[in-house]
Amino acid sequence: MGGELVNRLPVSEGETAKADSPLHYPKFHEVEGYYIALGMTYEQFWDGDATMVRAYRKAHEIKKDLDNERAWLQGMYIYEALCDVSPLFNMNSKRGTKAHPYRTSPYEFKKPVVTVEDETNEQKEQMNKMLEKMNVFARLHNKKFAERGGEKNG
Amino acid sequence: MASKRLIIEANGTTYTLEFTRRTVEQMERQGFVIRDMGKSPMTSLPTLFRGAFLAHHRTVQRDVIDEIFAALPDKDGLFDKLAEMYVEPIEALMADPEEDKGNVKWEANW
Repeated sequence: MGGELVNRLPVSEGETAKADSPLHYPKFHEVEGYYIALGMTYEQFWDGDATMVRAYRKAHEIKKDLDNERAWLQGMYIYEALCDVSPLFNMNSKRGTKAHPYRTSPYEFKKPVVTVEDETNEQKEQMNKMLEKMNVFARLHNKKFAERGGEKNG
Repeated sequence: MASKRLIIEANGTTYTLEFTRRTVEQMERQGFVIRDMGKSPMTSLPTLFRGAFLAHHRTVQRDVIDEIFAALPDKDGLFDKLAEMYVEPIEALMADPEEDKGNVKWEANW
């Protein structure tokens, strides 16, 4: 992930010769701008916790995913809006054709909150229903059994 | 995870030893090459030790650091830890450690 990003940074001339160099600080200068672009301060990069760069790379990945999701959502709205106005662009539509009204509220993403109590109540209800069914089944079975027994005995 | 640090208590003072990208650069500019440590450990180890003071205790005198170094036990262990600390600012720029790829484990019985 991050390593790839770092490796994908622009390669300067003489890079192949540098690759064999035992010195690391030229690499620091190469990637410094990249991390500052990710939001690190100059001091954080040079004097701060050396592992902070990992968190910034991870955050960058998350931001990219969020941006992607946002763009996808925007695409959904645009698509829906186009569908709504599409009757107006139909050459064969009758005079006076109106566009479908655009949605009045955004998509609902919140899931209904199920509390633990609700869940247990629901489970209890299901259990009671099952028990009831089993009782009915047992009663019918017993009845049939008794009838057959009665027939044989009679 | 925070970067690796070494805490040393000497003469009533607590020293936090750490390497940052700036101190690694400074050491390399002064001629220190981690790759060559194996060739001359007798001189490299004290240099590395001194370099670890640069991040948080830049003003501490060299003779004080050398004194602390001389008094420290387990130089082999110290060498390993300092080398790990030194490469951390470099390694952090490389690929992240592989994440757990699945439900596969192994174990040895000795």
